[in-house]
Amino acid sequence: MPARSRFRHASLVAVLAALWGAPVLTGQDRVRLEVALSEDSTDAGSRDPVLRAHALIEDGRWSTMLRSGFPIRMHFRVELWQDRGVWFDALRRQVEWDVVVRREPLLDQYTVNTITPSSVGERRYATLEALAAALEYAYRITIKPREDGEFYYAGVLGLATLSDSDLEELDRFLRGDLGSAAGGGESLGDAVSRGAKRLLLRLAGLPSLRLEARSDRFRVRSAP
Amino acid sequence: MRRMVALLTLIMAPALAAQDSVIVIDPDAPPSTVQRLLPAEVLAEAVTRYNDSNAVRFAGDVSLPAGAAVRGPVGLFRGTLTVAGIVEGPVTVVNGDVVVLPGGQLLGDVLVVGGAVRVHAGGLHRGNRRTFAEVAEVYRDTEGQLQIRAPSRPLAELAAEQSFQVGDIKTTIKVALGGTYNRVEGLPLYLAPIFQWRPSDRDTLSLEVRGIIRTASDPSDLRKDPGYRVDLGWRSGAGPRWAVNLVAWSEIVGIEQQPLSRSENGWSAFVLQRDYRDWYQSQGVGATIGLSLASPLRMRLGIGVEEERSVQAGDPWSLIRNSDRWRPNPLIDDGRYGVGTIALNLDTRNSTSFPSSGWYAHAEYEHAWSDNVAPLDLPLSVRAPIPTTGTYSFGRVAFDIQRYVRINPAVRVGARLLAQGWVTGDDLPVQRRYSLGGTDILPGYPFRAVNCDPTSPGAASQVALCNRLLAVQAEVRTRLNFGWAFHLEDRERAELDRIIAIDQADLVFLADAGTAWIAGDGPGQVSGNHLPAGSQWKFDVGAGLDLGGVGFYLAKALTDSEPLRFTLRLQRRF
Repeated sequence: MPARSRFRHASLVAVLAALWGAPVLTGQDRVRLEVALSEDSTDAGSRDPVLRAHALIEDGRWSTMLRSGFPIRMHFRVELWQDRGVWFDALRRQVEWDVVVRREPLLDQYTVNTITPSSVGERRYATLEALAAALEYAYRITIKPREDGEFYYAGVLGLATLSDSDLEELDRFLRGDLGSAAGGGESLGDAVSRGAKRLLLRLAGLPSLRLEARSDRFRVRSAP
Repeated sequence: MRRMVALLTLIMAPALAAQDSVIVIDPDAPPSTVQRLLPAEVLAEAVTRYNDSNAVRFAGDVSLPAGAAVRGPVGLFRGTLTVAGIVEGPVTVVNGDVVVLPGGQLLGDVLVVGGAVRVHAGGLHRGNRRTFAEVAEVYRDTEGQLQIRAPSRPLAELAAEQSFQVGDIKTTIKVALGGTYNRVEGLPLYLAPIFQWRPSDRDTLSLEVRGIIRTASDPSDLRKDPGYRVDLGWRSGAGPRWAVNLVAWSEIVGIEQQPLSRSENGWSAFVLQRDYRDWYQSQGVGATIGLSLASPLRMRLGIGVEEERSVQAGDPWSLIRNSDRWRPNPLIDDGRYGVGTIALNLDTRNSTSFPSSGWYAHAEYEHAWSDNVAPLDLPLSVRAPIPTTGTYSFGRVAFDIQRYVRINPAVRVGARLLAQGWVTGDDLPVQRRYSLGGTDILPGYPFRAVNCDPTSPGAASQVALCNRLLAVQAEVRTRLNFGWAFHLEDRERAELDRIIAIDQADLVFLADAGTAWIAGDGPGQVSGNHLPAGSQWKFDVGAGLDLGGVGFYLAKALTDSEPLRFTLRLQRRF
């Protein structure tokens, strides 16, 4: 392979890595999900899961997104698994909830909507610091198992952001409605090419992250 | 003012943090009084109020300063209505909030969908207040009026439609893709008026008159153009749900339902000029009864009379290999058939597109008869002559059972049993027969590697001639955490998501086994009470990468010397 071609391929790989991989990798270095167990408050030893996301706002990408008007959607899922020894583990239950964070420029506030299976809550914070503290609140889910056995919890946190205008632009582009992009006398090919690049850059610049964690195992014993 | 609000919030925030550093979620608690889901009638009311010609309409953030006043209905879309002055009249906010600042007065009923109302200390709201947190799925048209978004559809069912109401009858004019691209019709397009009358909240009477236009010309004049489907249906949506439909049709119908799904087969035909299905013309009348017995269990009964005729492949355009010839469409046993079916469906999967737990089971029995069948002359090893004296009848069954299990948080297992074939009466007509091999069930083998055609070389149409099929599939999936996931979280963009989303990549290991044969007492056939010997089974194994909607697989046949085969799928294998 000629050196020039190798260089071109290497550049392409580097660009792709920068577009897709780099934001994710740097994000994984900082933001993390913790799945802990609640204190042992029952005779049987059953425990609830306690989930907590760490350092979301400290990761500059997410705070930049918020300040730029992009909402952040945090989708949590916690699963209760029973360890069955040599046999396959069994999924006993799962619960999902969402936390949507957005900035309201008019009031210079941050809004946090927590949408659980049974309720919708809203909190507002005036500063990024207060928001950072709020996003590190722990979530205790009351799904402790009642039956005998050894159990653990698996937690998943999906983080994503995309604005309505991005979606609409993408939607138009994929529909083939080039609209203003094809204006100004440029060729259709140029408009498509430019639209594709802008789309790729736009999408690549928007962070997306998925975190997984597991709790320690715990044993539930029969009541005496 | 902003500073005051910020200061108030700042003062409140540490207190909240101290109280709520652990948020307890009880999934078993009854729903709170806060409305989560937006009822359709409320959405319709909000849109009507916003579009009211008497309303003062805004889009985006609006602030009414102290000392200013607005009288009459006010509508706002996607923004925050901040009131420091006086608003007299009903207020409707869609996908936004209402904030009444100290000194502000809101005198009238307030309806907020997709947002909330906050009245600060010193502010006043007098009137009824209804708020719904769920975002309203609406858009603003070129005239500034709000329109409710139609629910998104799968890609194969893209359609344009316009509805209007005359008296009690709702009329919808619909233009849609009529199924899948194929070598007989090209792209079938539906043009249909649909009339609906709802005598009660539970019941719907509908009439759909669908014309079918085909883009591919018919070289033989065998095809009846244009196609049509007239469907008169009565549906009840309360308690055990049921539906009764009277149908008349003239359509092109697929013979086998595999390999590949309907939409994948369409893409394959359109792009690669590879149509993996065979087709025939069906024209008839019939009735069906559908019953939802319990939540995951449904039953369908059908009876009808139809003319089934052979059709020839046309020459529709394809993106690649357009100058090649399409695979001929095989002839069938033409005739008028009476057909009765009973089908049961059980579906407890957690997702129809990406299941990871639950069962899917489908069982169907079909009994058919004909008094004027004109059978093809097939070799005796395929089929003994079938009666043409008005006594021809046959029965066949089909089972498709799928099981999905997660064995730990990262590993999922799927298994499938597929059994189809003749069970009673005379032997099956060509348009009810089977084959095996190809991208779906045995990806390690070429298309129709087992088709029970005794001639050598076989017919160019690669006609499927087996009358029984049995296959078992299994796969193990484990997640590769490369951090590649990208999804549009907005459910409204489900179609878009399907195109561009990249899920966490699943590494898939697969194994398949299957056989198709001719059951009977003739030469080379397998007795009706027995399964084929082990040497007649085909096995393959493989591995692949599933990116959540697009999958790449490599499979190798174990029982024959076939090359390693690559398959691209646009959905899960099963």
